[in-house]
Amino acid sequence: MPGLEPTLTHYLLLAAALLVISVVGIIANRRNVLVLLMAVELVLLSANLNFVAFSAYFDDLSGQVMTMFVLATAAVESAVGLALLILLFRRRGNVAVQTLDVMKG
Amino acid sequence: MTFSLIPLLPELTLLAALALLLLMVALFPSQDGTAAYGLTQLALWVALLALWLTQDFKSTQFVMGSMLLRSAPTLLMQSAALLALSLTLVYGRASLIRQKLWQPETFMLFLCSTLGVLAVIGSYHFVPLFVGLELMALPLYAMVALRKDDALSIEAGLKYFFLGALASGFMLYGISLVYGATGSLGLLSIMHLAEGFDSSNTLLLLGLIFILSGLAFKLSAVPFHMWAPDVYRGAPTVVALFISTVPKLAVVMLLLRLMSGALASLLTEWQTMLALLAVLSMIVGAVAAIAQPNLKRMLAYSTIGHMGYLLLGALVGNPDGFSAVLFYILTYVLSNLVAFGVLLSMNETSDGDAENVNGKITLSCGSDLKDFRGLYHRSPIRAVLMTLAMLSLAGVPPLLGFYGKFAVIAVALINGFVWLSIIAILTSVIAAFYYLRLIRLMLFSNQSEGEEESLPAIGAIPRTMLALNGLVLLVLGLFPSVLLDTTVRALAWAGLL
Repeated sequence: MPGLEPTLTHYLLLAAALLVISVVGIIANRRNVLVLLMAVELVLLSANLNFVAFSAYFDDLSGQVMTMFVLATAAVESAVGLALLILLFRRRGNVAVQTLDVMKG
Repeated sequence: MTFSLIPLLPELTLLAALALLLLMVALFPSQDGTAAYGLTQLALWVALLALWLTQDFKSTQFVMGSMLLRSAPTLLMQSAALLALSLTLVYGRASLIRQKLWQPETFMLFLCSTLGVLAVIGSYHFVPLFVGLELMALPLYAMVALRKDDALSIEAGLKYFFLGALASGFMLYGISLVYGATGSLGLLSIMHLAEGFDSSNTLLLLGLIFILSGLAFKLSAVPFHMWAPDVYRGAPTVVALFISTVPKLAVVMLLLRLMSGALASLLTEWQTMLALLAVLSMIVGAVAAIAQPNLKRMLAYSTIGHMGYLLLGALVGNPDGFSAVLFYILTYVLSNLVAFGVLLSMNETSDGDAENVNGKITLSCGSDLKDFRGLYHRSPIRAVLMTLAMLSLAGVPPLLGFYGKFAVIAVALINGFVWLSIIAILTSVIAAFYYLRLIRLMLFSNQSEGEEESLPAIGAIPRTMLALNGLVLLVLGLFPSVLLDTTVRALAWAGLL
């Protein structure tokens, strides 16, 4: 349909919305560490969306290549995060955010 | 397109050592860390040798198109990173054994992170830069939580992971915006494409803000410093030493590289934001450290303060400022190595049972300030070296740390940043209080009664290296021009960072 084609701006707004959602998810979440992990991954995905959108806009492949690298590092990052989460669960028996306050920054 | 792999020999050496370590673990699963330690040290020194042999340091050389850069400043910083890790492991050996971390996996994580540091220092393109940053940061999260049954260690690891991952994400988002503003990911082409852009280019400005917040997190500059004291406190001391030195070299290099090259067209915006970060870091680093009962937390705030001085030199935005920053980070790394080296030689009780004392959480361990009371009477060499390190960190004249501070403040003053320089001088006076308090505690207090615990002996090699390292603080402090000229000349040879 003419007039409803998504433009660059739409993609950028969607990516910005994803970024805001993930930051709010990290700051406002007081319950589960697992949710934090998802929010952190969402930040990388929002940047990826930007890369792909700009890549299509400029007709330049390097943005999409960057996305591949980012996806790989995101996978590694979640592996490290889950490993830490398992350590926490073994030590505490839960994965609640509130218990992470033995040291006060 | 052909390219030679010879300039990549240092990185390839570390990579080969990593692969070999993995193989060793797979073949001999029950071995302790001795062989891995030897292999790691060997790899570091071979890499250092390769670095100096394969590189003509008077010229700037691009490798793989313009992906990687080899120049005098990268040579300097990469050597510093390799040397700092080597010394860290020498000082930390006994501590690793005491904390039951003497395993091949520990060294793999150190090597992996250092490989990332080398990659970041040598990259001139956003793809290897980002991958290098992640390669540097991801092992660090695991290293902080290395004491797997210690609640503090795990908590510190998780905090570091979430904040660090968020910072990496912000940085990546910033990179995507810079890509959107210029249409390129190579720093060289961005530098040309972004020429003449100013702050009216919203994409580029936003990109700069996001990238800078990620960098500030990794430098632990205020207001992105919240993780530092907890992570230093919770991490094994060896890891705290590593975090406070090696990755900082890479991030400082990256900051200067972006500021002097790719994003140089927004210099005014850089200066405004860096000034804010610098002032806040200097003030928080000086004031908050006074209230810390634990030496590791105190050193974390000390690092925050030092990053403030460093940013003060960077925000000047000309080659004089950049070479002062390179000089400053080297003096800081040398001083911090001595301070943590002494700390690593002290008794460290594990915090594993910290929570179980009558339901009350006690956080005592060998790194509390009170453990240093009367140290001179128990172990003069530790007390003297720690005194040297503290005087250098505080910036007391005959020592190297003084010239670091002097260089950045002088360059800021010459370029008209008078108020920032005055704040820097005032905060360094305040900061001197807590450094000198530790010296008073070590030299002039008597040990409290009934606490006649003996300190573990320092091995011959760590003692010699520590003494040499302390001597370097003193000798380079007497002849600071040796190191300062090196950084100035390195920058002049390179032309670009």
